[in-house]
Amino acid sequence: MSSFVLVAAVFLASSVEMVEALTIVLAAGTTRSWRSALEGTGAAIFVLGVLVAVVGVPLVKYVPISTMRLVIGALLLIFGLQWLRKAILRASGLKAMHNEDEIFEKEVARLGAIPGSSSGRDATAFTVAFKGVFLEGLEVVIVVLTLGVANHRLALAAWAAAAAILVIGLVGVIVSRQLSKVPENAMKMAVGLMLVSFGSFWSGEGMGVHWPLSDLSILGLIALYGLATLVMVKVLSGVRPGLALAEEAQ
Amino acid sequence: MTRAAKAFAMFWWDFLVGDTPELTIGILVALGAVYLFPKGSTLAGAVLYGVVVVTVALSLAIEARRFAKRSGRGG
Repeated sequence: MSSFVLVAAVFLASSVEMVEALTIVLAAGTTRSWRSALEGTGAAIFVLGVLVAVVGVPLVKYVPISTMRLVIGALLLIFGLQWLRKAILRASGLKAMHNEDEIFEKEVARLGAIPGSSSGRDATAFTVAFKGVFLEGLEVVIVVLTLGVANHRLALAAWAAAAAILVIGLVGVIVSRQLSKVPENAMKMAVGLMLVSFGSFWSGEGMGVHWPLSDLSILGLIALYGLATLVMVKVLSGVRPGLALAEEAQ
Repeated sequence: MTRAAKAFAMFWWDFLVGDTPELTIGILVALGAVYLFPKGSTLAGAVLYGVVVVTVALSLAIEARRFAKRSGRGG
């Protein structure tokens, strides 16, 4: 059961980050050079993969599991709460929604203003795509490492992330500039809930907490945190009713 | 080398604390509270959940207050 939640959490987290990275790659490819943008993307994915292998494999092999779970659980809690907090603020209208179309337009205008290169390769497109994918991908690496190592299923977590990159890449090619249609905030909220639940479970395990249903408690925690999240969105929506209604309409 | 170390430290600081130090403090309080319980306790899990929920609620209240102040200033 925890494998299913692990795959879902990694897949969703990777998808959200890849949507953001894809916006940058599309902008670099459209305005500068597709070849260089794709080369930059490939190079960044390769470096991120190496990072997972270099950091993750020794962690799984040499660090005691209870220490690992406590540290990773705490990291997941902090990371997950940051995602959840942002998603709640956006859902209740206290924070502006992430608009990929707007970001795309801004990026296109910025890149279009930079003079082109005379050689076949475009250094700007390569650098922008590499930086975008690498920076967004770092969060994916952290999710893959923490969830994969704590569950002792690093390979499964890495495959889930790779599948998300592939799916989002294909969707990106099909929908092209309509990335704003992706329900990014709902996905972020789901990921935040899963990360906080995993974080609570693993940090508790690391400190000797007895979870009544063992691994199944993760589902219970997701439901309980989900309930608390709904209440918080409802309460905060009262602070800004107009924007909350706009969010519901989306 | 120093620059790389500084950048590395800054990355982790931004990642763990950033502009929401209350979340990090709340998590440390939650883990500290769990540590006070004997091993094998079920109640410790409930306390962990409770402190985490209170932490995020407090952080949201802080942001809502900031939002209200900004709105008030903006008319």
